[in-house]
Parts: sequence; C-alpha cells; structure tokens
Amino acid sequence: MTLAAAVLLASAGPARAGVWGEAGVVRALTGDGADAVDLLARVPQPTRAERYFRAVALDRAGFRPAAFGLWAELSVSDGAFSGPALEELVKREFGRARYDRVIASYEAARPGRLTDPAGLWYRVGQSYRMLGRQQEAAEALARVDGGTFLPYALHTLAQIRFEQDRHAEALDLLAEAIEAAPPPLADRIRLTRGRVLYQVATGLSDLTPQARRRALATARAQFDRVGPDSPWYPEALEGMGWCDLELGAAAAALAAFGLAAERDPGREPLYLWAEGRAYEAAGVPAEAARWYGRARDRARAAAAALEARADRPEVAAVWRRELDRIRPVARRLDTLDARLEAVSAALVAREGALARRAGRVDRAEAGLAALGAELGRMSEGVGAYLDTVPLDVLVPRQTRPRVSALSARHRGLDREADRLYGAAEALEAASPGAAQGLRDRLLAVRQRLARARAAFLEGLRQRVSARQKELAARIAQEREGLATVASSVEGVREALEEAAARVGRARQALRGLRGRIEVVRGKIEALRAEAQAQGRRATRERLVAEASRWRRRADLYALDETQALHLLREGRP
Amino acid sequence: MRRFWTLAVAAVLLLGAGAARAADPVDDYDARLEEIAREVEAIRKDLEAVAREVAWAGMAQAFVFVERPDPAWKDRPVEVRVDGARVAVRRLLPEEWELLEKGLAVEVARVWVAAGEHEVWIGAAGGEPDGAARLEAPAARPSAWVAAAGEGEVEWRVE
Repeated sequence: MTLAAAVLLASAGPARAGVWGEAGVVRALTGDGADAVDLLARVPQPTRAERYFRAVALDRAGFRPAAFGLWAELSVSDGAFSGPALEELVKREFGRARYDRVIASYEAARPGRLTDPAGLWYRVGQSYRMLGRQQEAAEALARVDGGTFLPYALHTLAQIRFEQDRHAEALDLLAEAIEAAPPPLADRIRLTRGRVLYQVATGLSDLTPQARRRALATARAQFDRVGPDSPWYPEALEGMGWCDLELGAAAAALAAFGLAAERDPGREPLYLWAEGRAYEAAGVPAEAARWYGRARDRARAAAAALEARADRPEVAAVWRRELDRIRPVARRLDTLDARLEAVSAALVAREGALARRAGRVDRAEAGLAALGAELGRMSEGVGAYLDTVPLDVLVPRQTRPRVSALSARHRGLDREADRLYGAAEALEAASPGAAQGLRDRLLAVRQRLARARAAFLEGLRQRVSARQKELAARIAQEREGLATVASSVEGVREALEEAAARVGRARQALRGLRGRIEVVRGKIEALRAEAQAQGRRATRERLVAEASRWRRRADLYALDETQALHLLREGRP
Repeated sequence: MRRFWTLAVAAVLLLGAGAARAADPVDDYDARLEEIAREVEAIRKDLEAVAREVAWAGMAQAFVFVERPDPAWKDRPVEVRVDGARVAVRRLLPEEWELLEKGLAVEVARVWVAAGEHEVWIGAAGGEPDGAARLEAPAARPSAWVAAAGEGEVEWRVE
C-alpha cells in the first residue's frame, strides 16, 4: 500500500517533494525508519505526502503511537493522502485484532483517493462483523470488488446471509468465492458450501423427502470435490460421512469417518464420535458405546496434551510480530554503540595528538627560555663580544680587501721608511745635509702615515660604536620577538589546555552515553521478555481454552456412551 | 448433530487478522517501545554532538543523492568517491530503482568531509573516476549533493 502511495506522490507533479523529502520517502519505504525520519525532518514545511511518509518511517522506527497520531490527523482532514493514511491505520489495527479501533478510525475519517480500496473495505467489513454489526459488515464487504480479499469477503458475506436465512444467496456467494479463490482456499470454501447445503437439507422442515435427498446429494458432491491432496480432505470426508449417514448409507459413512480419523489425528475424537453416531444409526449400540468411549478417551487425551503444552507455551504469532518491531530499534542501538566506539577511538587519537603538541610546546618553551638567557648574556657583554671579533669583520665585506691592502701598504711603507732611515745613516758621513733632508722628508711621510693610521683607527672606532649600537638594537629586537613568540606559545598552550578540557568533557559525555546505551539495552531486554511472556500467556490461554473445549466434548461423548449403554441394556437398537 | 454443523458454518475465515485479545498490553507495549526509540534517538543526537565537537571539528556533513541514474547502475553497485577516496559502494535495491524510475531521489551515501570544496565522483563500481565535479560542503549545515546522470556524464547540483 505504501509503495502505491509513493507512486501517488511521484505522480503529483509540480507539488512533488524536494530532494530531502523524496529521499526520505524512499528510505521510509525501503530502508531504516530512523534514517528516513532524519531525512524527512529536514524538510522545512512538510506537505501532507511527506507527513504521511514520515508516519511510515516513524512506524518502522518504533514510534507507533506517533505514527498513528499523524495518520489519524491526515485521515480525518480533507486533502491528499487522507485515504492512504486511513488504510495504514486500519491495516495495523486489524492486524492486531482491534476491531473497535478499526471502526473508530473508519467512521471518523474523510478518505479521499485510496490505494487499495478492496483491502480497506474487507478489513472494515470484517471488523464490523467481529463487533456483531452485521448490516454494516455486509455493506462494506459487498464493496470488495476484486483481488486477494475477494474470496474472504464473499465467504463472510455468505455466512451473514446464511445467518439471515437467505440460503440461496449464501450458496451463490460461496460459489462465487470458490471461483475467485486459489486452490487450497477454494477447498476450504467448498467445505463451507457443503455444510450450508447440509444445513439446508437437514434443517428446513418444508423440504420434500426427494428435495432433501437431492440437497444432501449436492452437499456430498460439494465435499467430494475436495481432492485427497488437499489439506481440507479429512474434513471433506467427514462432511461426506454425515451426508451418507443422512442418506442411510451407514457403512459408507463409517468408511469416510475412519479414513478422516487416519488422515487427521488432531481431530480424531470428532471422527470417532461420528463413527459412534454411525453405529448408533445402524442400530449397533454396543459398537456405538465403544466408539463413544474411544472418542471420550481421545478427547481427554487431547485436552491433557494441550494442557501439557500450556505449561511450556510458545510465543503467540501476534506477539512474535510485535517482538519483530523491537529488532530495528535494538539494531540502531547496536549501531550507535559501534559509532560510540569509533568516536572514542577518535578521541584517543585526538588526545594523543594533543599530547604530542603539548610536548612540542614544552620543548619550544624550553628553547625560548634558553634563547632568552643567551640574548641576556649577549646584551650584557656586547663589548667583550666585540673584543673577540677580528677587526676586518667590523667593516663591510666588500671593502675588506681594500682595508687589507691599505694595511699591507702601511706596513710596506713602514718597512721602506726604516730602510730609508738606514740609508740616511749611511749618507750622514758623505753628505750630512742630504741625509738631514732625507730624514726630514721621511719624518713628514711618517707623520702623514701616522695621521692616516689614526684616521683609519678613528674610522674603525666609530664603526665599532655604530656596530655596538646596532648589535644592542638587534638583541633588543630579538628579545622583543622572543617575548612575542613566548606569548604565542602561551596562547597555543592555553588553546591546547582548552582542547584537552573539551576532550575531557567529551570523554565524560561518552561515558554517560555508554551508560545510557546500557540502560536502554536493559529496557529493550525487559520489554522483549515481557512481550515474550505476554505471547506465552496468550498461547497458554488459547491452549487452555482449547483443552477445555475437548474436555467438554469428552463429557458429551461420555453422555452419549452412557445413553448407548443404556439402550443396549434396555435391549433396544 | 446440527449443533456441530452450525458451529462449523460460522467458523471465522479471516485474512491478515490477529487473534482477539486484550488491548491494554499492546498499548503499553507501543508506548514503551516508543519511549525506547525516543531514548535511542536522543542518544544518537547527543553522540553526534560530541562527535561533531571533538572528532569532526571543522567538518561538514554531505548527503549524496541520485535523482536520475545511469542505466549501468542497475546491474552494478554504485560507487561514490570524494577527493579520490572511495566513501561508499552499494547496490541500488530493486524497490529503490523502481522509485528512481518514478522520479524520486534516492540517498546513496552520507559522509563527513572537511568543510570546503571537494572533488566528487559517482559511477559504477570499479569504473574510471574521470570527470569528478568540484562541490562545496559548508560547515554550517548539511549539504545535499544531487547527481543526475545524463548522456555519458553526471550533472551535479548542491542544495
């Protein structure tokens, strides 16, 4: 029905849902209900169609009351999907045998277009019948016009007509139902038709003996159409036996009942009792009493077997279906548990990354501290530092060759001057005046050299002073930079501490979630156990009721036995 | 004799109906199952919040939808790649295919990626991942990457 509703949605054209809604619809129909709920929840203003499919998804995800609420809202208001919403409600309530709710939903609804009208009318009709409202039941069932439900609807309608003494109509409806039904079901309906014919033959006093015989022969023929391979064959044999008995063919009846008892041990006491009836009809009370006695014993044994089963009952099918609804919720919880483990693993990895980063920050801080101390030492000892520096590193690299060449030239000039002084000493004896002149010139040159050297040194001094300032400025700058870096590192450390705190909170949250998962798992187990207990209780009640029916039958069979024995003692056939 | 047959004719023949029983345990069961489902949903949301804060910080969620499939995807699984890495491989169910043919979009993957632009490719599993599209995944909200297969290529849009 829901797939048909999806087709309705797809054919809606311009009013069709957006991609979130569409994918939600598809997921609601084919996959996980909770995922579908998630997708459909992202649709900002859901249409009636999306609300309908949201209910489908909610129902799949275990939110049945919420789903029923949504469908009920849609079904009682005019507009698209009011029909499919009613169909969903009716289908589910009918499946749980809550016929009063089926009817309440139906009577409150304003259904528009339906996706499976036959299914709806069938369920509504059957519900009316189960509530004893035969007229409304007949009206609804008469609207089933085809499909799987048609033979069932016709069968029930025939029962209603039979109860209203409209026998011919009932027989026609059953004939129609047989035509519409697949083989095993057709055989089951043949049984009902044969029984109706039998009732008509034996229950209507105004039939002539010939008409009665014809009706019984027709009933027998109806039973006879059920083949030996059919699961309904034993009951058909039983029907033939009763017809044979009414037609005075006790031996044929006995044969039919005997074969039925062989083929259907579950109903054996009924067939044994029928054999007793056949013997009684044939005027053999001793045999009748014997078969009634066997029927009584088998009925008591059947009751005892059912009571023994009632001590260890299985879960009733209806509760097994309810238990199946727990499965997707439990599976989702398992998925969350696995996801929680994955998040925990991610958290551990993140903690490791944070620890590694913290280690790097520690090392960076230690390095910064060492660098700071070094810069402090450098700042205090710039002069001393300069003492250790070769002079030529104080001048720019490109001028260093020129400075070296000048120094070499100075040294060369000094050596030349010394040599010329020696020559002036040698000249003293020969020409004191020339020697004096040479000495004067040498002195003047030396003075110029000394001045040049002094200027050079003054230049160096000034350069050293500028360099010292520059170095001090550089050190100050580095210290400033170091302080900035230290502050950044501090920021990083704070961020890391914050991240670590967040991870800690997350870890705590995960611990809480793990606890909640365990609590919910416990609730699921408790609900499962209770549903199983309910299912066993339902089975037990059914078995006990069935056993009680067998015991009542056993009592009736005992009465028949007593009566047959009495007849035997009286010597009457 | 007639007593037996009258009962037999009146036997109920119901399709798809459960056995009649008291209604209360079912209502109680429904309510409790719904309560459990709500708790599971609340756990999912809380877990997602934790994961987003810690494990997926700076990440974005993207849903990959197909609204028009390539016929080749009917027989082979569909593969989704993000930045060259395979993030999902799955076969479209026959029911999904039917609904796709009716024009409804189908979700094929949901992924967490770093917020920003990504190269996204969809095609038959094992195919050559050429012609990847660059799609945006903003951190603020989940994105829908919608693929529509055309003549030899896939057109994408982001919602």
